[in-house]
Amino acid sequence: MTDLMTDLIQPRGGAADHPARAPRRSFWPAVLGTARLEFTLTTRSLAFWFVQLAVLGSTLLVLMPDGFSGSFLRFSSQQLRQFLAFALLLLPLLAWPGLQRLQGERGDLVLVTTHDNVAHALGTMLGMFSWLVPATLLQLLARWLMGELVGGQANWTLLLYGPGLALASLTLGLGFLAFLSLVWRRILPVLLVWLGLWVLTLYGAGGLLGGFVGPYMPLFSSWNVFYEGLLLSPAAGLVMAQPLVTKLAISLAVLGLALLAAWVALAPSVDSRRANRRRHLPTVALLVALSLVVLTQAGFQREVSAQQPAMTPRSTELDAWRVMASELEVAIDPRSDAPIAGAATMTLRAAGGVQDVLTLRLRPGIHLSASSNGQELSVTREGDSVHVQLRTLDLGPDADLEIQLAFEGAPQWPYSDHRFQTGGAFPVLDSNQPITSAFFNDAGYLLRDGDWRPWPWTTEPLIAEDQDVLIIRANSKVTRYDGPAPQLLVALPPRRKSDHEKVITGTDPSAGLLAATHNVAAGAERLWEMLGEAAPQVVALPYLPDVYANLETVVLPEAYDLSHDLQVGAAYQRNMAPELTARAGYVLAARAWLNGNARHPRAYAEATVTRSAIQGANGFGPGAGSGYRLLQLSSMGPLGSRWSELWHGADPSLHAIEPFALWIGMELAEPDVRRNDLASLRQLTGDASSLLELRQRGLPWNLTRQPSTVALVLALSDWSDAIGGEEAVRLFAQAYTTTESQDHENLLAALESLSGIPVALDRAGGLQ
Amino acid sequence: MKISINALTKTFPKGVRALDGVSLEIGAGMFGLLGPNGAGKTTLMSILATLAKPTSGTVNVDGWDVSDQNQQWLIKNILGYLPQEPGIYPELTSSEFLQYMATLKGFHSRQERRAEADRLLAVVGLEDYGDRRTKTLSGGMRRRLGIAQALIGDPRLLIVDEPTAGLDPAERVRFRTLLASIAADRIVILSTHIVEDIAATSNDLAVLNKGRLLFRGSPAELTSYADGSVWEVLLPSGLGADASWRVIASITDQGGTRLRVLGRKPAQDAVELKPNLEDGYMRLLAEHTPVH
Repeated sequence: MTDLMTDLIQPRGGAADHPARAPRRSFWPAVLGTARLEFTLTTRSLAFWFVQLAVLGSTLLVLMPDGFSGSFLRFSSQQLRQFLAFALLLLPLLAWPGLQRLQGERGDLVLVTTHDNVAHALGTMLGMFSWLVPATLLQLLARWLMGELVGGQANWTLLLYGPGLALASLTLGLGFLAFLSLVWRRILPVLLVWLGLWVLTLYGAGGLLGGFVGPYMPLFSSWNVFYEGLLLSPAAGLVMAQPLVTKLAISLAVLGLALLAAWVALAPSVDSRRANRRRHLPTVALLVALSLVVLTQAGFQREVSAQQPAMTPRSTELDAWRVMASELEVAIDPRSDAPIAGAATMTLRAAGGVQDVLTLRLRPGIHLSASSNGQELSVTREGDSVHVQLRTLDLGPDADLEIQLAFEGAPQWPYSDHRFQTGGAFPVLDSNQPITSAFFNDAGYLLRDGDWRPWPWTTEPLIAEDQDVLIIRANSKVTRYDGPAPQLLVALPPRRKSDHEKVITGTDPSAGLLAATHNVAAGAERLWEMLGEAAPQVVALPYLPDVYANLETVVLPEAYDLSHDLQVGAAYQRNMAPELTARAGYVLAARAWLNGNARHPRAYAEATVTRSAIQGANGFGPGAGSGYRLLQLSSMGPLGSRWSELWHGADPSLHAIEPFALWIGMELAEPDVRRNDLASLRQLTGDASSLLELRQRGLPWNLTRQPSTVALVLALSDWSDAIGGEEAVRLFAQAYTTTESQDHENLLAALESLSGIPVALDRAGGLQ
Repeated sequence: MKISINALTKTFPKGVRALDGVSLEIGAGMFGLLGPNGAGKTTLMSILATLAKPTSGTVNVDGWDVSDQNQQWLIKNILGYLPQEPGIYPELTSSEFLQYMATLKGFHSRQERRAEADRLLAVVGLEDYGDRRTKTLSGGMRRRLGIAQALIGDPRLLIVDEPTAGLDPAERVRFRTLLASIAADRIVILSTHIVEDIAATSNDLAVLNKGRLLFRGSPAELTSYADGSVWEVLLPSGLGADASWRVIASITDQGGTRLRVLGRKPAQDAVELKPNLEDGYMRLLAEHTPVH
């Protein structure tokens, strides 16, 4: 490069006979000198420290509303968002002087030296990054530290992902400012334009404190410089957002770099004093940068498209096939690229005569092949369905179809299904959000058989009518199920365990989450022991709205504010008495067990409903638009969401598990805690003091509006007083897992039948 | 080494002609460029310093064309420049500022830069102020620091634009002495509207007015321009000067008002005085400026 430079500056014409003193080659030293100057001038200015203090102050905007109550999953992403909102707003105050360093007479001293425009621009940029990078790191470190000290909820994701994401946005900010400096030399119009853009962007991202805007997640917008809608999981970081966020950040950074290249290339056009010694270099760099902009934007848009939910074909006919028999063997290996691999033999019967096509529902990402009696069948995928062509088979009108299926892959969940924009869960019928999810290689969990199992489209639970066998190979164990399959198929550890051998959390769980997992582990150990089982492991995971369990594993949400905060929140509270948070953990353990053994119509097992059913249940929904999404409904657990509680008023569902979870949790708790809890419930009046007392005791405050729940808890407690707590829990478990219907009436009848003592609901007292 | 300026014209976008067919040759030593405000001095300095491009005409510095972008780098390489308003970064110390400028002028090693900065701080008498932020220096000190940066690398061409404007007399004398001491083996172009600065430093000068070259020669030649044209008139108290007189100095004492008048003999009792450089300069300008 320096040779090229020397060639270009050789005199032409008249000076050939002069003994020219060759210019000293000073490109890189000049670049570094300018960078050092930029760093020195900026860090010695008062504005720099004022801006740092102001940006640091914005930490409180997160800590004040969220920090003390502990919103674990949101903390890192909210801090990142607030940092960017303020850092971008104030960036002109720091960057503008550097961009204007050569303007007017101030630049004459520099421009008469052999320092050319490219060297100066490069040095200026390096200099800006030399203060921007450490300032960004220190700001994020300060936020992490503040979360650690104040809220006990710092996590490594802020430090691991925050700098890269923040610097991508800030690079775009610098590039845009540099471009504006070509248009305006005075800061006032630049500030006005900058402020206008900032306000518009922030409004689009939901305001300074976040919010809900538009039908789509802002993460899908290339204007989302604040990364609104991003959730950083303490367990696994970006998780399912990773491809989307990575491409968004790269496209932002590349756009910023292209604008900086434009600044270098065009600066001599607007200031004749400036000259590029290598005149073609900036133009080439600009063209390369623009090409990269096009490529990265296209890559991001492709990812946005890929993250849209797969549609169900409009031709889909529900319940067109009955599954008479199914034998399925599936192997789970989350470390593999194809973590799910299975082989099934199914006997199917067409419900309405001869069918040419068998349409199976199957998550994108899982590849399937089919054969029948040794004959390979043609298979095509369409959205969330797989069509198996049957024309080549000679099936009679009443003949059953015997089919062999082989499938493997990683089920894909589009990020658009996770609409946790501000940590609040959406009403399930009001959004595109099925609550179950999975990710692989770091952790995996599957809550619904419908998420991984090929099955004809149906409105019924995925159980064969005559014979249903499921064999699961996972973690070197083989488990056989005859009948209903477990809904929580597998839960595998994120990166690290806590010091509790049965608890598995992320690498940096907050104090609240750690307390919750330990309390749940203690409760689960007692409950499982009562039921004659070995203690399960407890895994904290992202994207969970509720607690679930199978025999070996309990999974609970990393963040309690995603949903059900009324029911699960107390277990995470740091400022509550240990015996009360312990009871809250026991309630969660009981709730997980109940969820894991639920069979009733509102349980998550019912993964499929018709479009008309969705619309019928609720006058609005996802029916509008160009496609169906039949594999859409997944309830928020048997209890339903807090939203449904608000809608349904004081009368809970007959299938609600909340009273049972609360009662079992109280039975597992310390005797004093149980006694005081019951006393509180018996004295419940529904006024503000009752509500306050419930909150102070870590009990759901909405019990003041649910007299039937309170009555049921009290009745069950009276009943267990009569027969002994442990025996009562065992009998309840027996009743819950064996009764035909799990509605309250049937369960209470079964308890009376098993114990010989009635559960006296009418004499329980409490809130009337 | 010499500078050749031939039929140089510079017209700004709004049609203002700052230079109009200026032709000039400048050789080694101190060269004074004199002219009133708006004469085109700064424009000429900017062109010589490669900061502005001529509209027409040619300017060669040591054989290199200032309009040729490739040859500009060679001119920059031998150039030291102190503009009218030097952009000295207030947050830097004097030494840091000089070291930064030394970097831009090809001093690669830190030791080299530091030595050059120390040397030049001593040359301009600021050796005790190397660690002071430049914003704490007086106006004169900042000018001296400006000349120090212009001297980095021992440039063969030094262009100094209005360096003494705003300085107190002591600083001005000090600055002129400094300039004179460094003009021995290089071209130093001193642009100013202060005649006294030229008189004290230059043996060769030119006068610009309204973009045109009015004079080129020695101070003595410019002075001789006013031979027989400078008069002293003593007016009794209460009497005023004739409106047609071009009064260039006026001193009032108990005996009346003593006027220094330029032009033809203003009165019978006027006494002819020996002209100085300022008289010659004023006479020259007067010839090219209509009297209203």
